[in-house]
Amino acid sequence: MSGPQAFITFRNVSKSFRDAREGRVVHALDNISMDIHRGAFVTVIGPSGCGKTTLLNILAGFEQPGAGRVFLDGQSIDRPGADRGVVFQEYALFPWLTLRQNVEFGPRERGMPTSLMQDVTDRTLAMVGLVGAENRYPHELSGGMRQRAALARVLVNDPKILLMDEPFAALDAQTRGRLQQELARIWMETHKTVLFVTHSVEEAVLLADRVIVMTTLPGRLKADIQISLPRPRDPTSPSFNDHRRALEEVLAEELAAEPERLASL
Amino acid sequence: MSLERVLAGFAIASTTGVIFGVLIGWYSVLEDFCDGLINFLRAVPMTAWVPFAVFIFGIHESAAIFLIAFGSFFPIVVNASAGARQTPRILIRAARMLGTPPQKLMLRVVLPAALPAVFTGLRVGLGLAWVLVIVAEMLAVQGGLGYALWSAYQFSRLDLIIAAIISVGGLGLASDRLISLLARRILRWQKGTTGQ
Repeated sequence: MSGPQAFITFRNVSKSFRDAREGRVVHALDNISMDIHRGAFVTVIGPSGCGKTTLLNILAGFEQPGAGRVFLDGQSIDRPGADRGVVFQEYALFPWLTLRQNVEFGPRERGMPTSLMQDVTDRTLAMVGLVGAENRYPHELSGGMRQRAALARVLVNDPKILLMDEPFAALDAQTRGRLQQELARIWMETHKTVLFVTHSVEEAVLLADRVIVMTTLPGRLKADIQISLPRPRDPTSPSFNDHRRALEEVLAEELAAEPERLASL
Repeated sequence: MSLERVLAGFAIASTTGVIFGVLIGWYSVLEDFCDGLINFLRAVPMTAWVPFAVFIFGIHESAAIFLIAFGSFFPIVVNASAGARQTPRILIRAARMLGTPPQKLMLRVVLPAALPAVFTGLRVGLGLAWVLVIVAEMLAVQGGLGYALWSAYQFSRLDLIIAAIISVGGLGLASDRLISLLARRILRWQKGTTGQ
């Protein structure tokens, strides 16, 4: 499975947990194996409640796989680390720190000298377009600015990969569109490997080189689709629409497969 | 004199209360162990500890300070542990993925997340400290406002009784103001997120 270029490798990863409310075992991930190349932008899409967030949490080191292993750059993953930056849907900024202090949190933890830290913080804030808001607290920022701050906070650590868990789902459509474009630009500038979980077909096609479609529980890989549209991408172009329709058909097939599960959501 | 006793007792209670509270709230093993003990001790009225304190320490400064520290310890520890327990898991995860080692999580995330609750505990504890200093001075030690109050009663001086009561109220109010001010400064990141 794992070729010489594989940067992230999932090898036979399974994960199940007990649903506390219904008292039955949920197989969130069932024998997942895949390779991701360095520098790729991969989106993971699937019905709500499939194991896509679990997949991301395992790579982040927040959860341990029940079986199988995950490797990053040849290293087996067993705990969280600053080499894997996570952007959460809920931002998860520290409310007691100003925007700047939030961004400096990582460098401080890693013992970076102050002058260097100020320098990289300034550059990162400029990259995500947050200059001028440094001294505000998170609750004084708009949703879009909070998510920029959350992105800056991990970019400043210069991680090997970015893990994003539906980062723009809580934003209004306009803000979401702008942040998607800026993320695409930042990705091209930094050449980071990105694993991006979403439930939006449009978002998946807009951002990804490669879209992984997951099944509803048990979570398996249903399809692995390459998107080779030129960038920057135009969501109104016919070729974009072809990709979107193709992906939507795959997803619809999956939703139709388990109607009673869908009804319960 | 009363003020010094309150300060000494409250200083002991707030340091130990915050440290224990955050530890108990964060480490669930400790919590299981300590919760029963704390709730048992908390259920005993503070006045019931007066004979115990005098027996151990004698009619001495330390008896009063023990009572104050011991009594105001409980609201502080209970609030601090509740605050620590409610630390959002996502903030713990955020710190971990930014490079915070597990042994530093308490200082970096749990303590600041618990601070609003800690200040609630400190305010309640300080109020209780004023109650207890009067009780201690009436029953266990000489000098101070409680002692003056009791002496005034024995000499049937209502004017002095009222003067003592007003002094206690004034000091209590002033110290509460002071701690509220401190809380507002330290918790200024909360400004505009709570209440109306």
